[in-house]
Amino acid sequence: MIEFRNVSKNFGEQNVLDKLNLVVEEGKITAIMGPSGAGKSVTLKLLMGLLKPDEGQIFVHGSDICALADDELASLRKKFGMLFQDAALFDYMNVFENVSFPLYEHTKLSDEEIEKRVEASLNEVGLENVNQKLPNELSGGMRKRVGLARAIILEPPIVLFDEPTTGLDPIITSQIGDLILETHAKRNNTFLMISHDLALSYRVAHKIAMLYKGQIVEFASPKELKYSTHPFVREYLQAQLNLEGSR
Amino acid sequence: MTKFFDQYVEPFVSSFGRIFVSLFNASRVALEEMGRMLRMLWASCKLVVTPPVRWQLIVDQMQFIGVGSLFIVVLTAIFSGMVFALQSGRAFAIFGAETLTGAVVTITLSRELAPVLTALMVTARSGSAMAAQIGTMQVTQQIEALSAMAVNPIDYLIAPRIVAAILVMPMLTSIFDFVGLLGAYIVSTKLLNIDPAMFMEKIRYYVDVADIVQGLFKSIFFAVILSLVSCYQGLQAQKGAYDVGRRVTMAVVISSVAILVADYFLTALLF
Repeated sequence: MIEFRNVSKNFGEQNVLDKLNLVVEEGKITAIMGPSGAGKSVTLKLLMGLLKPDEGQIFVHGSDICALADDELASLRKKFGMLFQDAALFDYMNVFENVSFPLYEHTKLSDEEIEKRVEASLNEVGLENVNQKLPNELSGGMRKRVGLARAIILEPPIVLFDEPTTGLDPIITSQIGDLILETHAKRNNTFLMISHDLALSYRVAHKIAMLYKGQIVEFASPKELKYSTHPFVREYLQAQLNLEGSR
Repeated sequence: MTKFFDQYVEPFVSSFGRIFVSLFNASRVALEEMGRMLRMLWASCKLVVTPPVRWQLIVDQMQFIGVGSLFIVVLTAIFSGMVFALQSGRAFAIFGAETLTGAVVTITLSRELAPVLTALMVTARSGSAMAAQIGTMQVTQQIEALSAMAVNPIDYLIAPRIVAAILVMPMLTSIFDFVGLLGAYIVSTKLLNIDPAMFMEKIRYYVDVADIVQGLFKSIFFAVILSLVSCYQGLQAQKGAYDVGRRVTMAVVISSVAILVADYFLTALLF
């Protein structure tokens, strides 16, 4: 289980998170949604220990990550897999080297075993015969798939998604949605996703948290969210409906 | 009197005050940056001696910094040796001491020109590339991805570059010494008609092993400066391509100036 307890984060004068409270249930897909600049990416970075909160505590499986020493934090990070917004693949490594990187860093598996694991992981995200390709030879959707293969190769109990469908066309967006559902069904681990994409969140998430002015103003299932009475949530949903209506 | 004060004294004092405040702020920022760089160096030193040592990455970087810079170092060395021999040979000829050309060129090359010019060339070629590569990785979240995968970026990216630079810089400086001397020998014996035997004899007589060791010792300091500054500037890139370009420029400028300043103090304090 992941829990944010009264977490605040400021950048200079800007108060990005303001006593944020959130509980992410184990084995479920949770989406955090909100306007640009609401602090969604900061929330993920705080969870990974890449940023420190100014106030509050963040618990992962019972450990307060803010109180951990650097080596303990490094060891905790092995419990996470993260798919970055632009996949963040190492551009000087080919697909095989990118996906096998965590295995070479954190396991003592033989080269043959690593090859098998990479092959299986790439197959799981629907990729074949791309081992020798460099990231700049791949499409946006393929890069995201490689990023996901790398994120799940160590079989982490928690997988984080930072805007998994940004910049992708509707068909690839739909395929990424399928992929998230399939991967979750196979592994049943905790997925935390931040996204602008309401359709994707409705489709894949068990719970949606709406982040506004540094706080979670609504935390509900997709069905319940549609009936939210919070003014910002109403405005957000209406804007999305207007956008879909104008298409 | 009041008019005189308002017209001449007050603007002068306030301008002086503004300049003083700007200089103070600039010095404070420079000291803070230097402190952060030294912390990064200390973290790198600790990680380098903590197993497992990343030998493969160190060898890769040695190849990039050393083998990659070899051509430009050789080219700089041969022309530096040739032009220095030409200038000093002609000057010595005025009072009939042209046979000293070899010794003077060798001492100057080994003590000063070889370590300094090698460091400046490696900064221009490899330091800029280090800053650009690390800066690009920073703005495309690749460094965050390393941290997210529980890999320390200092251990993976910075420490191997610093160690590789420390290992290859004395080698490149030795090559500069040899090739520079070769250039000086060719110009002295073929163009200035200095007797080859006299050229070599004077080198044997006047040049001490300590002269060469001094240059190699300096090159280790310069290696730390150029690799540390370049990596640090790369890590500071935050705002896209423009910022990466700015950081690369800063890496080259700060490294070059720091090498020249360090050269003076090393010479004055240690030798």
